[in-house]
Amino acid sequence: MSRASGLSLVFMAVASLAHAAAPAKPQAAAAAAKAPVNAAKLVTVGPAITETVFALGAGGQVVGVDDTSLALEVARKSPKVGYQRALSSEAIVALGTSQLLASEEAGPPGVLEQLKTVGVDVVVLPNKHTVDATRERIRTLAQRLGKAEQGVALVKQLDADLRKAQERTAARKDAKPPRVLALYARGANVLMVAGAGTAAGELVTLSGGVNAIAGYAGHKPLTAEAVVEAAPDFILMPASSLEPVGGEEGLSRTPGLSQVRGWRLITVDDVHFMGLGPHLGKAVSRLQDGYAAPARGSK
Amino acid sequence: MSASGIAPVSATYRTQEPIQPAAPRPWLLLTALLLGVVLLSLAVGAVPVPLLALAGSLLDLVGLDIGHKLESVQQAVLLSIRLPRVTLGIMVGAVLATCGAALQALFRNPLVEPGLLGTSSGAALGAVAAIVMDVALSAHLGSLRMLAVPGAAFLGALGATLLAHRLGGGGGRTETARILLAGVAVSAGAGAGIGLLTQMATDAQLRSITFWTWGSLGGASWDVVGAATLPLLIALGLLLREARTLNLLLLGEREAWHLGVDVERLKRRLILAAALGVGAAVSVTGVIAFVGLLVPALLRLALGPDHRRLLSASALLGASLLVGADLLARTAAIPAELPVGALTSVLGVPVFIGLLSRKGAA
Repeated sequence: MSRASGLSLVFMAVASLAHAAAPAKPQAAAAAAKAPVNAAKLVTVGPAITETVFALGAGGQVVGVDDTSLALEVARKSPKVGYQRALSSEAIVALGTSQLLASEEAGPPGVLEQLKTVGVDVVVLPNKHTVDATRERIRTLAQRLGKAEQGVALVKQLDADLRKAQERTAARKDAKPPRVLALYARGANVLMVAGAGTAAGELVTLSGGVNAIAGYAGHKPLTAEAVVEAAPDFILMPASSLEPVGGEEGLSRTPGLSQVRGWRLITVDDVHFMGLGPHLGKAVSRLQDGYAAPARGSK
Repeated sequence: MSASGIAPVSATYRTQEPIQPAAPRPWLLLTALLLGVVLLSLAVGAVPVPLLALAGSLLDLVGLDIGHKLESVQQAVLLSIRLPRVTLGIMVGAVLATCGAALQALFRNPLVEPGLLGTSSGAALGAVAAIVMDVALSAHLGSLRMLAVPGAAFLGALGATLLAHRLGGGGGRTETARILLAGVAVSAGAGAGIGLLTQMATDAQLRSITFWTWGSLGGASWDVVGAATLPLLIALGLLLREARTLNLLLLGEREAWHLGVDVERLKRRLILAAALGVGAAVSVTGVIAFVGLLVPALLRLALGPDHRRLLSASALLGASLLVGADLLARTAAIPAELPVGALTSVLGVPVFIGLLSRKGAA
């Protein structure tokens, strides 16, 4: 055996000794799960969770958010803890975090493990894009944060918004539901289409429209021919995606869309493409306003 | 060698003037460097850890009280975040650099690195396949998810290297140039596979793929370290044993054979050990480029070509380089982390170009 491997073995021995001397996992986390913690310092990961925490009035406790949550107006000033899949455990600890509220996408797994070891209460919430999941998220977070009343009010508001949307859909004069193509720009030249099971696809359904692209789940790159086939009446986009494609003008020149006549553009806040937050009612009514707006000159 | 129609690179390589070693005993310097980088890595980060308190806590372990001790948060960060991370960095850096040194000797070409054999890209293909097949993204943050990607990466590395070896070994005798060509072919194939898989991947999967292919030590928990230690140390030990035979191999395959080295078996041993080491490394940290190229190439310039020195010196310097690069990766952009593979590439590319142009001038 050479010096180098001897050295690494010695180091391993030291490391394992130190590991043995490490404090046992704190039991407080389990107890904290039941009792609402009011003074907890929160780091939220995932826009839907961040938005819900702020909507519940617990924004003051948030000491950090992930990059994607910065799309939210309310969270724009919060410190960043990095990209949701490449979280930095030390940065989260350095913020004095006592609770990490994260969507399933948060990672890498090793970092979540490390945080648990250090005594951070790690809460992972499902990130399904359904209204039921949104209600469930509000209730869970409300209970965790001791904001039960605000939680009930928020769910009530959401249900009221959705009822109103259904009434508007029912009141539409023409029976044919609008065909909507939901797109976002990944980089300057790649447009991604939202299929079934995506936040944007769900918004289209809730607003009484149909997703012009059927037949797959998740986001897929746009194929020109499929767009011609889909013949959308409306294009739904997150506001920030408009600039990279060159605005409505540039959009009408993209292959596929250039061959479809008379579509109109509706934009919503970026957040609505990432997850269904507590304010999804706003996006739904924005879509319905778009459907109702008079058509401009054909393209 | 030249029968394959490729100019023998070995000529320039073997007749390179061995520069008089700056330090005939480089161990002291290299060990001091490693210890320095390790201490710095333990002390620096998003959570400040004062050195005095660190020393106090260490002395406290052996029963000395100097009145300074770490706070519990600092201690927790140190023991469950930084120490496993540094430990993994030491092992992976040492293995990558030693694999590089051994493979450069095997191919008698200072521009070889583990990635060239298809090992790294094979590992990446395995990992990406596991991610896209959704095993890894199951809702369970449990053992399954922790094991699917590393397991697949490891198998991919081994499979790709064996394939390269098999393709390169026409009729029982493996020719160096053929192995390299086979490695290139396997890399290209794995790359194509990754390209196709990323087309099939969902948005979420695509993001974890990109994160993973740049490499990171960020997820290093004691579990990860524990799982990776055995294969990494076995690979390191296997390679370090070969110093003498590698020296004989530098004379040329036929000469080594006449001196009693069973060259074919040596090649097989080296390739398997390298696949084990690089596969294990890639499976826990992702692809970290250029450590295997940079470190042995630099040390050969400083210490000359004697592998009794070169191999273990590579291990020490590789460990220092990766721990140092990781220190940069996690502190340069606090609170975000940079992928450490990107940093090693930034360092590696100019050196690689420099080596290439040196060869051109030779």
